[in-house]
Amino acid sequence: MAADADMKTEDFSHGDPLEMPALCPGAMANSKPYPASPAMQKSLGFPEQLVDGWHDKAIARLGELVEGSRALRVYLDSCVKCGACTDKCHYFLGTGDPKNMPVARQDLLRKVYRRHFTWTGKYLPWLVGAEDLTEEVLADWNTYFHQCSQCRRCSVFCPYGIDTADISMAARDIMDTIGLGQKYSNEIIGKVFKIGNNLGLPPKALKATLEGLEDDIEEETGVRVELPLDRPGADILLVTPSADFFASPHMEGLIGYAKVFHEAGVKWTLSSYASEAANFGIFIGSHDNMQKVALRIRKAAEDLKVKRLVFGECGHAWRVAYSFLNTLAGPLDFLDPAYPVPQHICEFTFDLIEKDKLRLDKSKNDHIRLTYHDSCNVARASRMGSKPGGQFEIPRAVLRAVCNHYFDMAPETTHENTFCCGGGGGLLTDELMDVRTKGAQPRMRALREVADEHGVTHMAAICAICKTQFSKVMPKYGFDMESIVSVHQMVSNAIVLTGSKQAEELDAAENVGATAS
Amino acid sequence: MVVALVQPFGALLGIAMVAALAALFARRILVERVRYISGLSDYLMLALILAIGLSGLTLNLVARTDIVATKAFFLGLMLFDWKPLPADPALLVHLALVAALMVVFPFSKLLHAPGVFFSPSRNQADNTREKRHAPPARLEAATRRT
Repeated sequence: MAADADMKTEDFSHGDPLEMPALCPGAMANSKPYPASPAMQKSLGFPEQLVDGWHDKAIARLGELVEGSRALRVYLDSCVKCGACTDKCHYFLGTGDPKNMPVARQDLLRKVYRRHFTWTGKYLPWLVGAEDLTEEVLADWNTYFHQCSQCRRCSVFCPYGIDTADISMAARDIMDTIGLGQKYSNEIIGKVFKIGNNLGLPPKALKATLEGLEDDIEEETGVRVELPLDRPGADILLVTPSADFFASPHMEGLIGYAKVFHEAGVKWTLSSYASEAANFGIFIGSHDNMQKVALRIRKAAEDLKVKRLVFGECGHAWRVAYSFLNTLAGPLDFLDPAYPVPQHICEFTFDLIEKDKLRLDKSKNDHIRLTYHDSCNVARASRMGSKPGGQFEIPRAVLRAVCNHYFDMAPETTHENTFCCGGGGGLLTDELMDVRTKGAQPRMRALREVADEHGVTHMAAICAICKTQFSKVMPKYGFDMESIVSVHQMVSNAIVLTGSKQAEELDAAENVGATAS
Repeated sequence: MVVALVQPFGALLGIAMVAALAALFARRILVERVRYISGLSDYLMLALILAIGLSGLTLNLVARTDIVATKAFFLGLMLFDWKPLPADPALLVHLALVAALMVVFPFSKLLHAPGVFFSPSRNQADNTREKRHAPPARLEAATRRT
């Protein structure tokens, strides 16, 4: 996979993934997101541009947020500046900018919180580092709260479990409230409201895409595997990130889900109304927008009268689905309680593998030496299965069942210690390419280690953002852009469809083997 | 007696405490990342506890105070029977600093000791699929709107 042309790649692609950079104050001060347009802002219920009296409105909003969230208040109050988090953020490790140390990022909001909401900050601001919300501080918020992918790695190492993601969501909420929105996230939420998915793929195009995929599968395997859209009376509604309808390696994953459903013999459907699992409302910390997106999924499930809800491979979508869907759009008591509500596609597939209901030919993946990237939101903000840690074990069990050569990366970079891909939290946009590339460095170095040591050629992920981000940044680190694969792409490669040419060949080979022996 | 056995360790532990605090102070100054995030109150808090340790050690090792009279004073406080406190400068400094620590404790980051039990990311149950956690009233209203 190492593209030879890239062997001259800068030396930052090799080395210890956790290597400490020298402090470079202001290194990333110029990395800012594009502002959301007035029309976009309006469609999400935010002021169209920076409002008059923004300072007072921002402080008032901060007051509402700490009043409404015990978590936020505890996180802002309880930091003791111990420094445990300072070297844990991938953006800090990649850039050396001290404001990318989680505590320093939190302090951008905390100093304003202290100034207005604590006694010492009001009367002795110089003692506790309390500061007013000036234009410079607001500019810092916009810069550095858009260099946080809300991956929560720092919170694992914080003795108090302070969650920087929560703080960056609050800061973004305040910025939206005073009219300073981020173009990428807000535009995408607008598209979901208008068209039904992040990519703005209209139902007709979606239908055509799915039919094209059905043809492709039939051509390859000889079996007609359905990818139904808006089929009423189906048992399962699959909600998946719209990237799955659009590009590699996402689409190969979607083909994998379809094959698994086909082999399981279940009636399933996609929805054009809820043709998006992702929920960017969480990135901008907007409960209202998050709920509006979540309610679309509920409505689709009700309209199609399904009994089960299954989510495709998407990291933060699974966080919202697993942790918040019940709260935002529940109670979901019209769904069959015999199954997890909602269920992850990996849980679904793993269940079939455990019951030996899938015929798998691992040798179809023998050209691949695989590792697995734990997507941050799945790893640290949700679970799969019935036991703690299922979100780590289930995807790996699925991969091991479909692939002969599997190797884990260094333990300090996987499981709950996993690094973000560098593109999460609403940063997956071109104007932030520099910080995305630098933030991918720890993961890329960890991958380089297993590539050198075990000859690993591919890395699987269960998140649309991870997959998109890696196919963009991997070439910068000397890997082929196709080295990133979907978990269900691996399943798709190995699955032997009942009645397919491959199944006949395998049967024939087995019969020959049986008579020979 | 137990007290006699434990007595020598008091001074040793006192020295260990001061050494450890000095190391923490040095870390705040010498580790660039930690220096960047440290504020005045972070240094002052360490300095206060360090000063308590140092003045305590002085009382033990350098200018020994009248421990019997000091004990009588504290017993007097508890029994509402006021006794004079030895007017020993080192002792007065030590006790004043301890009093200052008790005053700032509830208002400062030192309250982090029980804080960990209140951290949502450490104490919330992982049961969102099984049990519905009701949303804040503001969001409940939004559900009904649709």
